[in-house]
Parts: sequence; C-alpha cells; structure tokens
Amino acid sequence: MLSSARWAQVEALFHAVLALEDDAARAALLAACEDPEVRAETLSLLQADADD
Amino acid sequence: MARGPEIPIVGVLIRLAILRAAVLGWETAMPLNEVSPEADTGALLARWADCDAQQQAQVIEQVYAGLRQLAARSLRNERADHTLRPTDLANEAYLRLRECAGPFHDRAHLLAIAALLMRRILVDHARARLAGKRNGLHVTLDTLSAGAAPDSSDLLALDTALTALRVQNRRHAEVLEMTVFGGLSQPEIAQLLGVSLGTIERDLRLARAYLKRALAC
Repeated sequence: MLSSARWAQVEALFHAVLALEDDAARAALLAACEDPEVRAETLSLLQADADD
Repeated sequence: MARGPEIPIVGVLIRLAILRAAVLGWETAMPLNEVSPEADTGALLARWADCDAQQQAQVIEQVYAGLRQLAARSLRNERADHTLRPTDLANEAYLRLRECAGPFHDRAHLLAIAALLMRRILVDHARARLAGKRNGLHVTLDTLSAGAAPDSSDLLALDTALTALRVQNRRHAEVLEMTVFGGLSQPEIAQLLGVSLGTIERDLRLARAYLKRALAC
C-alpha cells in the first residue's frame, strides 16, 4: 500500500503519460521518475489500462 | 420529462446479476431509457429538496414499483440460472433503501446511496454463498440456484480491491462504485462530488486500471 503522497505521484504520472502520444516520450517520462516504487506502480497501472 | 430514479437503479440491478461482465467488460449500467418512467417521479425528484417526508416516501415507493417491473421483465429475458434473482435483489434493495432515513439531496444523491446499497447486498450475498450459509440476507436469496461460486469469488475480489483503492484515495473508489454499482453518469458524479467532469474521467480511468489489475490476479 502506497502512502497518499506517493499515490498522488502515481496518479499524476499515470495521467501525464497517458496524455502523451509518442511511445518514446512516454518511456522517457516514466524513466524520469526517480522513485522506483512510484514508477513500478504507475507502469503496472498503465499496462492494466492498455490491456483491453 | 425527467427520468425517474427507478430506471438507473433497476438497470444496475440487472447489471449486477451479471456483475462479472459488467466489471470485467467495464460497462456502466444499462441504458436508462429502456423502461418508461412513471410520470410524476421525475417531477417529484426535481423538487426533491422541497419534498416533505411523505412525498419522499412516495418517491421511494415508485422506485420500488420500477424495481419490481423490471425485475419481472428480466426474469423472462435473462438466463434462468442467475444466482441472484432480480426480484429478490429488488426486494432487498428496496428494504435497505427505506431504512435510509435520508434526506436525499437530489436524484444523484439517491442513486449514490442506492449504489452503495447494491454493493453491500451483493457482497453480503457472495460471502454467504461462499460460506455455504443462508443468513445475512433479509429476504428470499436462499432460493438461489447453485453454480455461480466463481461469480461470488469475483465479487469478493471486487469488494476487496475497491476497499484497498478507497484507502489509497477515497474519491477514486467512490467514482468507480457510483459508476459500476450505481449506474450514475459521469456528469452526475461530477455534480455530486463537486469536481469537474475531467476529474471524474481521469479518476475513472485510473480506478478501472487499478481494479482490472486486481481482478486479473
């Protein structure tokens, strides 16, 4: 369970990545996240989102 | 003519009978225009805030009439092996709705409460089924047929995931509850929570991803 501050970071990163259309830009934005836990959680949610 | 509250509530009852599809397929409640609303329910709800207790009771009676009407229809149209008979669910929802003293501020508020009731009823039911018990429900849910244990498990997994999401961010869980269990539209949820439509759209997308991941495990 993430702290609320970290969950807020996940939320912001999730939507920021979705707002980008370019895969490389998305990857770069994710890579720029320095918190590995936030990055992993966001990536996992993005995969679930894309998995339709 | 405004739509009466019974339609989305009834719609979600039917949806909930096929909850697995509703959740995993990420559909919201059924279209709200499949049953003609009772004429004065919408008008009553439009001035809900001004209604006295007797008038509010009248609205709830009409909600129940709508529940029963669509429950009967669904029994003809739906598979016979649903574990939750719509009539039973309608009865239970109605009983619990009546126990809510209110006041309901408006239609969206009423539906939001109904959404929570639906979730509670179904979760209770799923727990009872998995436990092999028949207690915990007020009416005739013990008439259920066998064979839907996977659905019960899914429902409990859904409940667990929603509860976990609520810990992370209460609004994210609520938006999803109101959508999946309550059949509220995104503008209705935005109005109810006092946030922008864009916020609701983003919340819903994140919450769906969270739940999808949880249910895929």
